[in-house]
Amino acid sequence: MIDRYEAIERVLGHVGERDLLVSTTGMISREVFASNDRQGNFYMIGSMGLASSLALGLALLQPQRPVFVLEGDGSAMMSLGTLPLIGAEVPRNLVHVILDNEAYETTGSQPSISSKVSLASIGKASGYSTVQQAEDGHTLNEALLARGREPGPHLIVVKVGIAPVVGISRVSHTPEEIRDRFRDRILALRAPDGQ
Amino acid sequence: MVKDPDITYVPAVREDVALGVASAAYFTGRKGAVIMQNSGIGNIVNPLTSFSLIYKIPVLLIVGWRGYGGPPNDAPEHWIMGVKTPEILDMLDMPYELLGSKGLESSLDQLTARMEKQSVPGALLVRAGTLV
Repeated sequence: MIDRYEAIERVLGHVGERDLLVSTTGMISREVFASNDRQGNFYMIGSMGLASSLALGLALLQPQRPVFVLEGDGSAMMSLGTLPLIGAEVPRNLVHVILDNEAYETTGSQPSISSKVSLASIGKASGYSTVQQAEDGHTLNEALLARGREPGPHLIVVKVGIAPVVGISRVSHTPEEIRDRFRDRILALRAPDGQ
Repeated sequence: MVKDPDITYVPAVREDVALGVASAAYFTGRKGAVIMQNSGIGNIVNPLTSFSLIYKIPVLLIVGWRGYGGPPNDAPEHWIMGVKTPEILDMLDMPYELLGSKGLESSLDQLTARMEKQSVPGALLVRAGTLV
């Protein structure tokens, strides 16, 4: 088990400059924002459970570009049907990372059901090309490296601890600013000189 | 539609998932649409209010209108949403048009003009038999 903040930093270390990242509501987006705020990040500040749907759409429409989605166990289970939809649609460029702390930490660390139900097993049954469960920093790095060796969709479930980072700021960009810079980034990358 | 090479069709498992997937089109310079039934409006109120309407991402919702006018039209499970459909869209300040006498192109033109002006999703309400 590793701290969520450390897990996020390790994942961000594998996100290329031209890759896209969608992060879920609550602490995860705040920690991504604090760790490495970039144009290619889309912070979904509301709509728990929707990050994976947007990422799926982006991956299907931008098949040449790696798309990462970073969410928690609560978010993944809220929209559990999206996992088999991803498995069925087979976006080769999608990397789905679930930070599993077995709790709804943002709202007060109420326990979730992921201590009793394996999200990795659900991922396998859902048809992801690769499924890895990482228990520490080393296995997380290995899982992130493995995705470069074969096509996705990839699911990486990371067991993380409950370790709130005190005093972390909210995403300071307005929703429309997040939208515009993300869209501008995608369109610029698609331009002939942006490839 | 499923075989049209210009359309990327995704058989989403729920209306909210469909809205999330279709919203990706906006970021790639394309147009996104969701085909759904009004019984699923409850499933997209959260993503509409805490995603589409705050980020201002337009998506066309093509909504089959079950239970139009309330009982005795259609089955009991459609009676309440059949009556409340326009009220909910009004509450959310979302543009919508009823596909009717104006014809498809005129209804769509008016709706998409309002969606683009406000940069928000809009609903094209389609009653049973309208397109037959």
